[in-house]
Amino acid sequence: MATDIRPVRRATPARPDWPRLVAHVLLALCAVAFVAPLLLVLSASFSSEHAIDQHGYSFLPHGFTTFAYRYVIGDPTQIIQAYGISIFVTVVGTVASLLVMSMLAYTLARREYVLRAPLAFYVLFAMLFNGGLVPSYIFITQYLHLRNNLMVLILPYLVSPWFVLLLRTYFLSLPVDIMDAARVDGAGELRTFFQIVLPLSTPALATVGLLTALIYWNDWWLGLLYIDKSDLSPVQLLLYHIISNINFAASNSQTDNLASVPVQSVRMAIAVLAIGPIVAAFFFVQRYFVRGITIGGLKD
Amino acid sequence: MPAPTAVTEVAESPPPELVTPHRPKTVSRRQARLRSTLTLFLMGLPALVLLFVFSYVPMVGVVLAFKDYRPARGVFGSAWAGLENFKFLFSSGDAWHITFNTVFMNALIIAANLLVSLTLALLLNEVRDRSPRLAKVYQSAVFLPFVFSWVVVSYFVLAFLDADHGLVNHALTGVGMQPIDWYSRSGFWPLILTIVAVWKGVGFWVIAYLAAIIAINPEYYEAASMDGAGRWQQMRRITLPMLVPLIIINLLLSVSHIFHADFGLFFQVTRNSTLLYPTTDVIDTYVYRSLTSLGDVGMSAAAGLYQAFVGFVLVVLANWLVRRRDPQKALF
Amino acid sequence: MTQISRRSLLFNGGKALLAAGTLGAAGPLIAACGSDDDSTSGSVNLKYQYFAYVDAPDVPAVQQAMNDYLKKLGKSFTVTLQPTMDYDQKMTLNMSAGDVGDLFFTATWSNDFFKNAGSGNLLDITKLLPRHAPKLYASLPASIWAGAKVKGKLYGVINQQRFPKLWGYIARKDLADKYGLDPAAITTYADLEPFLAKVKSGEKGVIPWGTDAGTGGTAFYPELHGYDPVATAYGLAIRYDDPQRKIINVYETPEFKAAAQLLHRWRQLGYTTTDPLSGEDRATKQHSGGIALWPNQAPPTNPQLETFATVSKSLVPKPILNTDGCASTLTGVSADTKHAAEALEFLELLNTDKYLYNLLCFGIEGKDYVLDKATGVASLPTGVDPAKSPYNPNSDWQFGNQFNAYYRTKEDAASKRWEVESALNSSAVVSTALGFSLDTSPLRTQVSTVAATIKQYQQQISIGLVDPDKGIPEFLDKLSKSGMPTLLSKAQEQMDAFGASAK
Repeated sequence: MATDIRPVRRATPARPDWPRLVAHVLLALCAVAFVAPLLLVLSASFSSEHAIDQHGYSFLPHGFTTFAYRYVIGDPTQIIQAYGISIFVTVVGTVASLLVMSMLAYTLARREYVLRAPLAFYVLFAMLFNGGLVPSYIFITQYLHLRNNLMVLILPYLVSPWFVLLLRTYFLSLPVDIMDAARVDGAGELRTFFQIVLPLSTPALATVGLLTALIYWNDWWLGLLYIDKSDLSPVQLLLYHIISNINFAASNSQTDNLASVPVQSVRMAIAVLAIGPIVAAFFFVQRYFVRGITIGGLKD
Repeated sequence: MPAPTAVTEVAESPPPELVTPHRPKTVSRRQARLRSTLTLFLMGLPALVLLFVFSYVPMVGVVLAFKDYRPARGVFGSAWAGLENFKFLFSSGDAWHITFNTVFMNALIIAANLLVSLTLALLLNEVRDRSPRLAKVYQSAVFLPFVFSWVVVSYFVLAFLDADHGLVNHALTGVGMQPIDWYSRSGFWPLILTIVAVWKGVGFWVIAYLAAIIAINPEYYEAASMDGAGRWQQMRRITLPMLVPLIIINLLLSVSHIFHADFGLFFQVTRNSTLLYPTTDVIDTYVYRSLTSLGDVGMSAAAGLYQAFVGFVLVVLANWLVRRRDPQKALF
Repeated sequence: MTQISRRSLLFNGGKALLAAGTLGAAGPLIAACGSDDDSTSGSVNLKYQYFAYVDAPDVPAVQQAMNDYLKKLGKSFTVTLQPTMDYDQKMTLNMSAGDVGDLFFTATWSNDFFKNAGSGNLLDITKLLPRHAPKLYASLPASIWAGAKVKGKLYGVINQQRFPKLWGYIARKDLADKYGLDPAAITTYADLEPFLAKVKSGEKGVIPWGTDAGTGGTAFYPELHGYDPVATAYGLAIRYDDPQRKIINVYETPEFKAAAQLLHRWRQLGYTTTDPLSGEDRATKQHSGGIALWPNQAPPTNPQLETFATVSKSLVPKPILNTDGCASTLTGVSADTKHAAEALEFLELLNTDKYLYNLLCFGIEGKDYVLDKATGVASLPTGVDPAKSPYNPNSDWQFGNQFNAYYRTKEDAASKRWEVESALNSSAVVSTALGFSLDTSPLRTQVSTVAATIKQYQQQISIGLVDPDKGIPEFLDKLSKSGMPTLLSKAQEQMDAFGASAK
């Protein structure tokens, strides 16, 4: 963020600056409040089941234990499988999505292209009106037969009209001379696109790519509708099932009496395992998000 | 067909520039243009086809709203039902109820988001020049929830509101109050959902508004400073007025989506508790439930079409208003 | 751990490669999608879809054993087993998508039989059944088959078992003994209150009475009060002995209200969890002994789900033979099947061939279960936790004639339970509406909106989440707005016509 927050205001004279102090206090409180839920879940995952039954969820674990994690790791098949699915869907989806969207966006950014205007409208209209859940559902299941197929987690999100238009706007902002020069040199559209336009567009591509990856990683909706095989469940769908059915994750138990299955803490431990990577990635990639929001022309 | 087919085709067609230089100039130019158009078309094709399949075909599917749908007969083979599906939707009273919830909740969230995001952006702006590091930490914290899925958020909320183990109820009993069965009391949920929605989404808007503030020409502030305006006055006289056009446009755009609720918020965060439906059942959850637990394809499609149509009208209207203010910001 | 994960990742990697291959070969992408058909080449493959509580890793092995056996019998078909969790919702979606097995489980209380019959999801097997499954057809009298008929057409194969519903309670035996639960003193659910109170104060961490947000934990069952639920999914019932066959809405009865008030009080007294558990979590808690007592049929339709000893008692004063009981679990043939004859041949075998049936119920002998030849009792191999067993669907009642099943407990075997229950089927009092089935085809919208309203309101009232004085009037008002009056009057017309023809 430091790159985005350049000091532009004149320095004010040094005197006790209580308004600024108040601002700091407010912001600090806010920051704590925003992160608190994460801490609560983290703490619960390290609590013993007995402690949760006694004291409920709390910010500091009563009776610190890693039992819930050991319990989950005792039979990690389900979770590892879900991770495999999510990683595959996210990687393939994001790469394919960037490729097809940027190619289309490039053609829409080429002023000489005769179909430019009608196709731009074609993309735009898809954003304004949608048939809704029911027709899509019937079409995907009855006509495309994509139920319980990994592709159903990827294909529907491949092209987002909004991202296409965003990329087009970015391509339009590139200096025209460079592309013209390339064409004078005899470079075809494909070469211009891959060798000149794409390398110049890394900021936009990074941003759109990250947002797309986030969409794929966080998606449970497509899984909820179209996947009913547990070995095809992505992480988020697994989490969704576990919140009401702990059996989904943990069919193994180290004790004979299921009464001692640590339901609450295991649930929270799985949640932590599922959000861990995204929180870790967050610190590396957040500036791209920020840039994306700024590039996006502030439209939601 | 989907993406990769077209990619291969494109890759296989010989790059035009290898041929053109050896041809007479006029022919080559026309040919080159034709070739270029063809290449451009093929490049766009995968995405165009995907849009067709996943956006346009379902649009045709809205005829389902007028059908007495039987899976064995398919979409077009099923008998027409006229307006029967709509009649039932509106006569049962559900349509009014879910429309109200959708619009009311969205309005609450839009207003809360605006208020909180502007406040935080202005506060961040006040501290960012002196303490850029801290400002960055604040901003990151506020933005963090943006990356969580609604499923994950539902775990967070559960940790607070679980009737027997939740933090809130333990705090309540701790101070001698009665615990509350949160997931059964619909009255609290407009507030709860607003808080959750703001918590998750406000980081986005904070960054948007902060970026706009940073873009304000520093000369205004310099001039104001020289005139002896304090920080408070600068905020009121310069920052806020400069932000007004942006705020209005954002509001218009948000309002144009007021007919579409965030399914994850209303489905996951409430844990789809039937007791909460009086305040949390929105068009999107209703459509989903009609399809998945009733199997009433016709009525579900009718509700979906009603939403899509009103939503479309609102977007076009909002866009027209935005265009009148600032054509640059208009969608089309 | 690292080793396991590496292997699993490799495995997933392989799958990923496979999928990537599909993506690359984009042309046949869509064609390659229905690829979970593992039909053996040439012969007819039947997909059989049914309700499952748990994932069973041994299903492919059991399926293989069944197909080997079918081959040995010289049959031209094989079967693909599709146990489905979250059955109701999945089947609703599957029906809309036209994507169901050739055979599937349907019932008055799950995957709504009347609605399936009325919407044309089920094949009319009136003529096919006697032709392709003569022994099965002969195993039940026409009066019972009438329970699976709608408008005179047969739409499902009845799984023979105890037909009258014997609602009562099941309790942990150790707790029942410890706190002196005297079965003789219990004739209604309300009589259980002192016991629940003792459990509440004496046992930490045990829920006295189990309730859930799905269907479990209510204290109202129509049969307890002499009602015959003629269409249980829509709350329609008659008094079993009413010669006029007057249809009423059970949610308007004083008995429903009394049960709701009871549960409301119990919830406030803390005899059950503040938030209802999900159905699945309730089951988990129950099977692990976390619940002292819960309402269910008694004796349970499938024993041995619990690892601990239980006591149970039915509270139904007069067992009633009615349509709802007869059609309580059915196997339907999909209207879209291309292999109706084979489907019925398979059902014939499943209902008459003990080996095949028990294979599906218990899995592979020696691996999934052990059989005590002397007593005929099947049990899990020693040391296997029922929740962890690789194959323990524990739902004999949904696959076929339950009287062909191995006993699951010594007590059942000693008491010759199947013979007793078979006798009960003949001795139960017969409802005046036995054989009546609601034809929902002219009532499609009412049926779905009424069912939706019931789904939304009934459970929360039944398990005491809301004050019945406020909740029931609101529920009834909503029901009448959803088309209940039309449903009642049309159902009465059909009932009257049924009465006239029965004379």
